[in-house]
Amino acid sequence: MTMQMKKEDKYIELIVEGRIDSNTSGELQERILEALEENNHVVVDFGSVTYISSAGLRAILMGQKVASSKGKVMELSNVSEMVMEVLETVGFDKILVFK
Amino acid sequence: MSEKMRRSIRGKLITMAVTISTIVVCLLGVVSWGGINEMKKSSYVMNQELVTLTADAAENIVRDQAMLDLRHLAEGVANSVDTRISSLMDQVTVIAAAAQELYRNPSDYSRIPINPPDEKNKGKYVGQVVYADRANSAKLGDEVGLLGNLNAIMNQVSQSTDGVSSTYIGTESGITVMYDDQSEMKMDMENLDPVTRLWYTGAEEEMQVTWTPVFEDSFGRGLTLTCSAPVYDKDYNLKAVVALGAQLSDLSAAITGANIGDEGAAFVVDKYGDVIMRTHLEEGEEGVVTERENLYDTENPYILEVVEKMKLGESGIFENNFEGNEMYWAYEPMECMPWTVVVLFNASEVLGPVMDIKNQTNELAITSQQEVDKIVQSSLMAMFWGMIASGVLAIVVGLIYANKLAQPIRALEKGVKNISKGNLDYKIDITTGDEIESLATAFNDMTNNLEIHISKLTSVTAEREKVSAELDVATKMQLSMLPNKFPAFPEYDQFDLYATMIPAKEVGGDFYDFFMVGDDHLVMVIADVSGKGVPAALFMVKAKTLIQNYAQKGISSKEILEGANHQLCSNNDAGMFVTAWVGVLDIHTGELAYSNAGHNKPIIKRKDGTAEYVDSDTNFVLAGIDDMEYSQQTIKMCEGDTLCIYTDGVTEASNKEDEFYTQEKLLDTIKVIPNGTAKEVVGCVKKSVDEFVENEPQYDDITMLTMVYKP
Repeated sequence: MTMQMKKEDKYIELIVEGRIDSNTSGELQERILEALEENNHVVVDFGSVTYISSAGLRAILMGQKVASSKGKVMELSNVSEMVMEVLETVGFDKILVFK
Repeated sequence: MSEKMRRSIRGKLITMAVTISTIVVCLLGVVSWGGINEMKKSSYVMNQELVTLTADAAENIVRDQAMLDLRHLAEGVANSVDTRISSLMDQVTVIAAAAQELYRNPSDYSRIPINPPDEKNKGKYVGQVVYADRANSAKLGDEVGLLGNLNAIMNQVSQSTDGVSSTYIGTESGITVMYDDQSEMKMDMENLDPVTRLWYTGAEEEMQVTWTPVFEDSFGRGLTLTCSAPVYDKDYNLKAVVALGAQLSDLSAAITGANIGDEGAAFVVDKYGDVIMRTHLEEGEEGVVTERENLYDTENPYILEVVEKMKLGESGIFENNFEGNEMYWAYEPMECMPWTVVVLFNASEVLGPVMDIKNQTNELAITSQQEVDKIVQSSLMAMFWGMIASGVLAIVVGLIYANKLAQPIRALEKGVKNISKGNLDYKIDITTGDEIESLATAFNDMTNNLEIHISKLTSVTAEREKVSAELDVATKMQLSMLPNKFPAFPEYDQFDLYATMIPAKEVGGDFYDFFMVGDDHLVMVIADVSGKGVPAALFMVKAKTLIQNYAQKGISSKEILEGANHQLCSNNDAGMFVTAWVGVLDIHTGELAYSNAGHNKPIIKRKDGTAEYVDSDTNFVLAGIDDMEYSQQTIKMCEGDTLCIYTDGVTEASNKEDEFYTQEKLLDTIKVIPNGTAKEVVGCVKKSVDEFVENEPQYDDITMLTMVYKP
């Protein structure tokens, strides 16, 4: 998994690429929390994510929880059908914000 | 190995020293050897040249001088013979003049009688008259009487002239008067006609004083030569010929005095090649020369060539091999007659001393060459021993240095051996001040670092081992928390249940559970805690306990999940969550009430072989958000229906190509499995998954629970 941070006018974009599994989810969570620390609006681009494990889901859930508690916004963008299926299976589609 | 190494380094150093010195010594040897040999050769050549030069120079000088001398000698001999012959010719001329006077003025002279030869006169010089057969002696008395006037002069010449044996006069008329002391020889003479004689015809032809060729004497006195002169009257008619006979032996006295050495010879040759005079005459019987010698008789081309030159009156000198001896020939023409004086010299006589010098020089050269050879020999020997000595020296020095160099390496080796045995406190002590010392220092540093590293590693490893052991225990404990006695409920024959969990390498968070609530309800749980490791395992224990606790209250699956979710959400700072599926089966009616918290949909296989997903609402995961509401659904199970619940460890099992097993493949697999016991169904699915992943490692726990309903 690789990540790139891109500063836009009103938000900061995290572009994620590759597999998000138990080995890489820690980094993803760290970057998301870092971004939320400094920004009010974070967009995570899932366009190039090929797989997400339960550990990856946890990183996203943590991000969402922190954003909600601090009154900030975390959005997912370009979520693929496959990843969306996983998100729906675990009911995350109900709590996450999609762009 | 190390022994071999050590020997090898020493050996290499020695070999290097020996090789270098051998090459140097061999090069020097070759160069010196070549030089000495060259010197030897050139000294030999120089010696040889010196000898040749000296001897040749001496020989040439002597030879030139000898030739010059020979020429002078030949000239001298020619002169002396000339004088001698000229005097004889003068005498003949004088007699001829006297005879001419008689013939021109016969009336002025008295008549003096001459007697025929008389034996009584043997040994007495007297005139003896003989007549040719054609002559009438009676009529010739007057002419004989006239000739008698010559008695005194001719007897005088015959008697007292060296080399002259007789004088005689022959007339046209046939008278011959001979003056000698051998009257006895002419007693029986027949027809002596002077005009037929060689001496007579020779003078007649020459018309002046001349010499005959060599001829055989009429009276057996051996080879003879005659000098004759014609006598004319007033009208220049030939009246007589006066002659003087000389034996070869007598004439030769003229040249015997020549100083020509023991083996030398001198002779006079006439224009016919006949030898007229010579030294070393070979005298026959009675002291007369009978053997005629003529230079034309030879086959020697040089001599023939010289004879031709002699005939032309030339003088010269030449060298040739004559009767096995190297001879010098000098030839000089005479003045009085077309004769040539030849002087012969044996070269060895002349060159003898030169040859001695040559031999002596040669001996000297050989001696000096032997000296040179000796010196060369000893030089080569000295060189050879020098080479051997330097070779030995190279080996000794090589050995000393090799040991000196090898010693610290051996110390280093000993140190390394000690270290390799685990003695890290060992310090290598080498103070050679070179690279080996640096190496030893580096080794000591390495040992120090190794010690530090090993102690760190030891503690870390110990810790790891401890943790690993603890994790091992945790995994075992986790597994032991799951019900694993089958058949689980032998007292109930309404259903057959089997479950399995194959943990991945790392302790994970899957779990299944089943238990009876009261006598009528079977509760089945399957769950998957997010993440792996100890936190996941601990969270799983918490979740399992909570779900069981709530379930035991006899409440609905929806209430179970809501209660557990509330409890799990509190103090969940780590953000863990659990997906779970809970089903409550009325074992008598087959009614299955179930709730799903973000988990995979179960599969139900009907008795008729059809299979489908159990329609489950996708409620939110447990421990995610507090106070969530969960839905509940029901499905009717009939006799022979099989329920399969599982975690994503099954559907996301990956093969080599990173492909997932997938929910669809699972459904297809279950469809084709023949109806059997719960354990058999689990076994078939497990087998299918194993075949799919082949040897790929298992990343996630594989958990399955199967229940066959058979009221």
